[in-house]
Amino acid sequence: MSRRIAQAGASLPEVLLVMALLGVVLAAVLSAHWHARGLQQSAWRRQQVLVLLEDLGERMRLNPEARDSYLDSFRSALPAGGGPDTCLFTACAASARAGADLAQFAGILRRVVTQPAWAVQPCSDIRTDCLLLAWDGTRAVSGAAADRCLDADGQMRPGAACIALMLP
Amino acid sequence: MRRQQGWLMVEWLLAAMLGLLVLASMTALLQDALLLARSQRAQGPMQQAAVWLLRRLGEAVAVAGQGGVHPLGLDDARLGAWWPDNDHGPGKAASDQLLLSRVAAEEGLDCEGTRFVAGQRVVERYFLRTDSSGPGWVLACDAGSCDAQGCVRLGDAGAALQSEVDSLQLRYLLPGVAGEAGAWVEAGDLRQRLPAVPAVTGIRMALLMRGSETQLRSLRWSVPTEWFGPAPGLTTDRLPHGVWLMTREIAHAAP
Repeated sequence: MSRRIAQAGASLPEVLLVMALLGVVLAAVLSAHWHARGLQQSAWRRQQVLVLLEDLGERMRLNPEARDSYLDSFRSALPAGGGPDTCLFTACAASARAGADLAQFAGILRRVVTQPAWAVQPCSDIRTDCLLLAWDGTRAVSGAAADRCLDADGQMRPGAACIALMLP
Repeated sequence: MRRQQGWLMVEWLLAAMLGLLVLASMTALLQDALLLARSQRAQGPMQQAAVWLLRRLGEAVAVAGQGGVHPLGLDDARLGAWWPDNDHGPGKAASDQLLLSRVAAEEGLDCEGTRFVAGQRVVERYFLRTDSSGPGWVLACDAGSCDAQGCVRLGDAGAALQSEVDSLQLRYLLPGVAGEAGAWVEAGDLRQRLPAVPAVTGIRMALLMRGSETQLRSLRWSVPTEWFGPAPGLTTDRLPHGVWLMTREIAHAAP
């Protein structure tokens, strides 16, 4: 006597449920991947900014007569920047060199990060000026709000897209 | 016996359409994520290599000129064959050569790993060359020392410091008079001032690097405006490229 096996396929709701579950799992995996990628990119950008700042600090050190020109610029908005450094090929006055340095700095910075901003203020731990450089929505100021570079005590907020450079 | 009932055609179509939609969106997301991950994976090591190399050169610049010698060796005619030179070497854009000189304050190892003793004049030459380890160029360092009898171990192929360097460019800062900022010049300008040995107070370095990991598709790339060397022209290939700059003060500038 042959035995008939009952055949019953998955119903449409079952298939939809499986697909929905699969979608949720894949979305979670992709979300983790995007998060990791974001962290990696953030570290990459921070290192780029660090190198830029290190270079700017040395340029200031080599152009001490224009210190006030640099400081005045830090108190204004970040320039649009871009273009070649004209003072690298021709003789320049100290203040013109400062302008060229900052224009190049701003041009590269704008390529590396979004919403860059700067401000100069006294350093919290040493009697000199510090340049605050913030990006990605962080504001180059101190205060209690979460989007500030420094907290109300003037300390660097952990995780903030911001770096402080002690000026020469 | 259980009654068998299949799906209606409309149910099949609906399920197939939904499945395709989910699959298509997931595939697009995955492909995008893979492309970005690949591009980022290629940028990371290139940046690490560039930063390491600039710091490595920066450390050598920081001690150059110690002991009252010229930091670029321009005070010693015996080093004339290896003096800094512009557009001297190979590369995607003809590369510059850097020579750094100092009198060692204490014993140590030069860039080729050879021991030197305190009081010895150490000379290190940085330049681009090809290497058997792979295609393209490496940044190499050839070290030697000089005493009253002459200079030894200079002029060989040196040790490869970093691969995947497409070009090295250098500018030197001559101090300005009051109110002036000084002038950035090429090595050729420094040589033209000889036999008067020019004081040099700073060095600006530019590195053109390429990554080793190929991208999924070819991309057009041209050097950014901050690149101050000869333009290598528009590049269309599947390798990532990047330019890094670093300025360094020469602390022991007095010849």
